[in-house]
Amino acid sequence: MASRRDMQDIMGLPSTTTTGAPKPPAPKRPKAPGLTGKRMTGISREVVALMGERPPPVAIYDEKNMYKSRRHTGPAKKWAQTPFYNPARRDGLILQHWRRKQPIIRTGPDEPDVMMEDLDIHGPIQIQSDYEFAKYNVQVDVPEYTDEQYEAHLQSEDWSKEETDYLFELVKDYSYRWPAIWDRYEFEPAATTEQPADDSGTAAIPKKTRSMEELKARFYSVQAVIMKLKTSIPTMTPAEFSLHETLSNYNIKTETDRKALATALLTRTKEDVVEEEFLLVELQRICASMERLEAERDDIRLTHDYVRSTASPGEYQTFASLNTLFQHLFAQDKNKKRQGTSAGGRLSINTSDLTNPNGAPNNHRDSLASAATTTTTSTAHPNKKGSAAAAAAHHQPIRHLAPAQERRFGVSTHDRLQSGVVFRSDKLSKLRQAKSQAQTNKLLAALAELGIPDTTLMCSAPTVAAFERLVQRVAGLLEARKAREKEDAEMKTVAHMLAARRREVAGEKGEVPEGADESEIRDGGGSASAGAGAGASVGAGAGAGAGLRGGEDGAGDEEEDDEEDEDDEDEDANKDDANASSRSDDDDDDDDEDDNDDEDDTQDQDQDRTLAEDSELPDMDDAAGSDASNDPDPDPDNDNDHTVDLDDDDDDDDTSDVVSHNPNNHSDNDNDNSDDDEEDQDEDAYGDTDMAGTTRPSSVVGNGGGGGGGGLDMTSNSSSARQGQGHGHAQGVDKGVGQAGQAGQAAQAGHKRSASVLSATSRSSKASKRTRK
Amino acid sequence: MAVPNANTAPLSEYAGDEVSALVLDPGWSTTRAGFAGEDAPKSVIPTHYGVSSSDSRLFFGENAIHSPQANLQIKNPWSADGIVEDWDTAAKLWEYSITSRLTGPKPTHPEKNGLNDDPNGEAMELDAQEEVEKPLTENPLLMTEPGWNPVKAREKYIEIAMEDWGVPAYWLGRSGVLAAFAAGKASALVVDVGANITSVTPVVDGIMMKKGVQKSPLAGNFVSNQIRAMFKQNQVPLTPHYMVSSKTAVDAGAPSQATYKKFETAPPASYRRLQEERVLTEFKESVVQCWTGPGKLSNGTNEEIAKSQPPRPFEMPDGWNQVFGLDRFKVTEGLFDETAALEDDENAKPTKAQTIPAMIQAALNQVDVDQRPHLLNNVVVTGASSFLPGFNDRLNAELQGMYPSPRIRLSAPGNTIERKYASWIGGSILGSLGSFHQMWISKKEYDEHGANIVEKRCK
Repeated sequence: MASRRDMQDIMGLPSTTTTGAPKPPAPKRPKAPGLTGKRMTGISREVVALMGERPPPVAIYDEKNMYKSRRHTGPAKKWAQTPFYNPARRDGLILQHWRRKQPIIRTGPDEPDVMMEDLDIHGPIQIQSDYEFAKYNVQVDVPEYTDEQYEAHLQSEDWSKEETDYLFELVKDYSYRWPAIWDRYEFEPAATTEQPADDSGTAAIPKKTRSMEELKARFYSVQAVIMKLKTSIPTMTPAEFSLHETLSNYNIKTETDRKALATALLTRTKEDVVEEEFLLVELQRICASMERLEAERDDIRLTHDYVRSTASPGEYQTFASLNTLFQHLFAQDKNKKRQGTSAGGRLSINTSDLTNPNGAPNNHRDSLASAATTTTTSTAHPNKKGSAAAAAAHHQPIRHLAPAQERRFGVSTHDRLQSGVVFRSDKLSKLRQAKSQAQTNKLLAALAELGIPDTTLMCSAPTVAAFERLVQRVAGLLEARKAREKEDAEMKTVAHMLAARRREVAGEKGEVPEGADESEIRDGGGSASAGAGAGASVGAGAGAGAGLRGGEDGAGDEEEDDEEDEDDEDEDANKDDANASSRSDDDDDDDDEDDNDDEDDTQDQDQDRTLAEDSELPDMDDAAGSDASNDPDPDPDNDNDHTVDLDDDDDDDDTSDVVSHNPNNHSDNDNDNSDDDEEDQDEDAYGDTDMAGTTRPSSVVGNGGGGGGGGLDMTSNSSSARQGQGHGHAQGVDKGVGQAGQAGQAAQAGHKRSASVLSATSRSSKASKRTRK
Repeated sequence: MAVPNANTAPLSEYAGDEVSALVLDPGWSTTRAGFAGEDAPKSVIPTHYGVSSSDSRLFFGENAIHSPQANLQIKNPWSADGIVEDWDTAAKLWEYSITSRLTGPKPTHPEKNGLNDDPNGEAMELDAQEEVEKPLTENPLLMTEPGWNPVKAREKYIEIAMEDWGVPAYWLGRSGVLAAFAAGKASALVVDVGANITSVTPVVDGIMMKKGVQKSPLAGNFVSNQIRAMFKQNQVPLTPHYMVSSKTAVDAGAPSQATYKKFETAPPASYRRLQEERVLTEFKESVVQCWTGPGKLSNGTNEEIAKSQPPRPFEMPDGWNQVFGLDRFKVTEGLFDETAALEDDENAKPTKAQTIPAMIQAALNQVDVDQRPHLLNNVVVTGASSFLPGFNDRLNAELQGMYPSPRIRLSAPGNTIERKYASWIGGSILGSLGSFHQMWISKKEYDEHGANIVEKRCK
């Protein structure tokens, strides 16, 4: 053997040719690390050696292991259509299938592809009777009962025997597939004619529609009874007993409830699904960070624990021992720090999570849902700040709740929330404080008069809102009152001056009219304003205001109660006027006047005088009535702004008050009609008054700057008024002093301001009327 | 026939045992027939047939009904409700579908059926029926029926098979159930968008949920009619192929400059209608698309987005051509959104309950709640009309919108044959199973119990 191989090698003959002898294995060569260790065959040793340690460039297969097509010797196998009988059938149906015809002589002992070795066909008409698929014909076991058993144990009011039979038949037919049983359950009592069961299955059974639970309950109860009849409970095997227990404990209600729950689960809205997902994630996160927090707390507890001294303090007396202690403590500290920084999770949702600029931050659920959305397909949205939170919230459409639901869940919407914790009681106490002490006192007095206690016990959101509204309106009311007092005082002063001047003129002429009282002077002033107001818009405004006042007085009698405060103001103003000797004094004494007001509130003024004043005013305004009718759209805002200006001269704090209240007044205006509180009605009226003065926030703010100028104008007007009087006198015009240019202006200034206040009060009365209605 | 050898799966896994059963799956548009165990029906013939107005001869098959003849009326044995209306013709048509390709006319009686006789296809076949006693005496027959088939119709099926054709064994399967089998599922919600009827069939454990079966006419023909309405609105001329002799290229929207064929007597309107349908089928296959969602086409900016997609050109047989932009989405929108369906005097507006999402919802509501998530996870989409591009995406979006919490999975075979002939393939699988052979209704049983046996056995 070996010699022949050597010979072949020497001759260079390929080893595979010429001989059919089994090839010798390739010579063993030192195993290369890259090779798999398989020995190569079919290649001469030298050739293999030439390859070196690398694997061969082409795959070399051993021919023995290669695929060999199975060679079928002999003639083709014969197949025949073989009839067979299926034992699972009872009707003796003979079908035919193709089977290998068993040859008489088997060609090979080990033909693996002959599958039907058990086929034993001796002739062509032999019918195969053992069918391999017959074993799959499995029937379910359905308990059976006899008529006697039914009579004795299975009677039911709801179920007739026929229906029970039908149910058991269906269970057998559909092999306990309850969905199918329920679907096909169309029991009709025998009395009715059999209806053709067409496709509209639900319509075909109008009589008894049994739920699947009812069917199950009936079946299980019958089954349990039958089980018990067959084997009494003590003799049951554990498996049988547990089955019996299960069957007899079937509860329709539990099952129905479960299905209702499943239905609800299936018909959840998208928001619910997202929310649940988010809540689960949140729960996980909270659980995780809770552990971390616990660990941190333990650490802190450890830190705050007393130092357990294992040794006496004397141990730390040397430098080395102190150093060791320091190192120890330092390491501990460092450790702690590292832990602290690595703790990225947080336990609670911070305010940035909750601050949902668009939605309802108080509603925890909504805020969670909005924070849950991570995908950002953001389109431009008008009320967004463009922050990430905004984008997230914006992707999630905000669920709009019905007002009733909002109340129920305590949902409220805010434009902006400040961070941190705010107590409502703090806000209440802050509201009690005005800018100046005098204002505060007045505010407190008003609140005391209304019977509002100093401390509010239940600081609920509606309470705070109501209180805020109340305070704003009281402030507005005080504002109006002060302005009006001032105007009245100025008017009086001018009137006095006019009277004095007239007396002087009369004295010069020699005629001293004894009846030159205030009312005449007022008449003159009124006509002056009317005359000048024909062209000037300010005059028109004054006229209109006067007209309104006139209208208001008609209604004022009905609302004596509402107007009482104002009447008081009138009195105050009149009183002040009476006291005031000169106009400049009046201006300067404005603060004093504020103080006086408080005293005046408490004083009991006699009503006669008030009425006299009221009756005088329309007289004065009669002259301006034409203007009011000519100018249907007066501009009371301007006038009121001017009033504020004048205030600004006297008391800067007041102006700023007005400005700061401005947006609140707007909101008041919105809420006015919805407010049902009886007590608030008066307040509403004054709120409107205030609002009328500040409908244009820009103009109010602008007047804050121009206020000084206005004040200067006023004083110059008043001085020039006196000059004008002289001038008018020099001209000798007897139509009325007011017609003289600058004197007229001064008078107008006075009238205008008074008119503005009057218009404001008239508005207030109108507003109160509206709310009454 | 699957010959067992070493290369095929062992018999135990295959579990098949073929008994040369025939599977017949009649539909409104096509009638499919073939041997059980094969993967595609060998014989697919149009269900439309021609009837000669002169001598009432019937013409079956693709070749017979598409040649323009003056006296060839085109009819369909099915009613608009998806139930067979004209039983006599339907039986002949079905027989033709089997004998023309599968079994052939009986080769027996060579002395009577002389080879020298005139081998006229239809005539011979009709003759054969007369001289040979029964045409299908050798093969068991498995037929499919729609899920809403009334009992009378089912009994008629088995009567035809047993008495007219003499089948040794018969079984009647619901097409929805078989389509679920074809998808390899025992429980499924089968959405079958056919030519005439769209049906939704809940199948639980291989049993059709009878109460849950829904059908509506919003199917392929509905889309065709929508296209017709759209053509009418846009003054699109619809000229079938047979009228055109030659055409020349014209600009988009320009009137066609084709030369038309001259007919001494024009083919009847039913013929023209059928030929127009073929053009519309081309149009549906090449132009029409479903809006894929999310949301309806009319929602928000969806129409703008649809408009911005490139329009598709279509050339009529006479050369008239145009591009279709938004319209190609609009004609299918009615399947999902009843308000978006085009409406004219021929096409009534569909109701909401007829739309496919509403049908699915109604079907699920009639099924036990425990099964609903499972069914939603096994939604099988079949039927040739479901090949409208974007149909599955849209259906998926609609289902996601309706049922956000359960997992929804649509199973729609991409293979054309499998999608179009799913119920046939299911029948083929079922008819070739070894364990199925105990379920056949044999001739003996039929004789014993009468036609009503089909109610008891083919649930």
